[in-house]
Amino acid sequence: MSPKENGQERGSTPRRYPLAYEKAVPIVLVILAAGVAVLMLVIFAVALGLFPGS
Amino acid sequence: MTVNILLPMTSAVVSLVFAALVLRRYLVRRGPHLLLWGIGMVFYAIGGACEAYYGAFGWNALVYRTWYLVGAILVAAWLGQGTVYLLARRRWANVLMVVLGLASVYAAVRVLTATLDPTLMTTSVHTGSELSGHAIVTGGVRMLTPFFNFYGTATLVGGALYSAWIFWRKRVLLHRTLGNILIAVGAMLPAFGGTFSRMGLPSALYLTELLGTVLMFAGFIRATTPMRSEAAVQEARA
Repeated sequence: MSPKENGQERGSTPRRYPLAYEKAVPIVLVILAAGVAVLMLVIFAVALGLFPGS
Repeated sequence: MTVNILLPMTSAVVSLVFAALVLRRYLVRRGPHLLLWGIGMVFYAIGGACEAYYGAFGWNALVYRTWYLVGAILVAAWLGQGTVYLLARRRWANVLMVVLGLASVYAAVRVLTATLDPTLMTTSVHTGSELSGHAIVTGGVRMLTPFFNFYGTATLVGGALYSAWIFWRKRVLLHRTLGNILIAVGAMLPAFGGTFSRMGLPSALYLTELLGTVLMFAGFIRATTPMRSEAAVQEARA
């Protein structure tokens, strides 16, 4: 491996979070994004008076 | 002391301490986002205090109007407006601030002049042990709440999730990624509680409000405090 290639390899090493966070953060973000989407729909439905009692 | 006093009173105290920390940070660093977050948390504390008052002493029209205006309508939107100032172009943030300000004044006039009937809180699905919007008789007033909460939830939760995603994608400032996730969860909880309350399931409101403020507070502390491992890396680089 040429020094250049070697250097590129070393220089292009991606930054990483600790392993647990690497795995957990995207899952949590997706779940929360889905949660907020549901919440927005419910708020919208409440505004339209689609739920009894609202 | 009942749960309907203890929970909102604790929410109010936590929110007030949180507001004091945010406003102290504003005095040092400036930035309209900190000022609006501070104001939003003061609103949160006022809302909690009104709920605790109702739990302890019962009905009072002024306390109820204050609770509905500040705690049910304005709090999420003003907190979210802080996030708008943090993430959006200043020009757009200013435009939205003017719109929010005018809408808030309109909401204040409508709530303060609305006809109230506290018995409606006990004759509907509500038990009367928790405050709800059902006491407002005048039409159209309660219709304001979802619009403010839609804006507040979209900007506050959406902004926190967007920030967390940006930090995660760049793999920088882990403490801010985690802090923003906590803030997003904390902001969603009372939004769910308030929405359930409107749907006729009020028992979760006070609990979600308390958990919400605790999680947002924890998120703020996390986001503004670098983790030990990160601090060690920064020291090694320096």
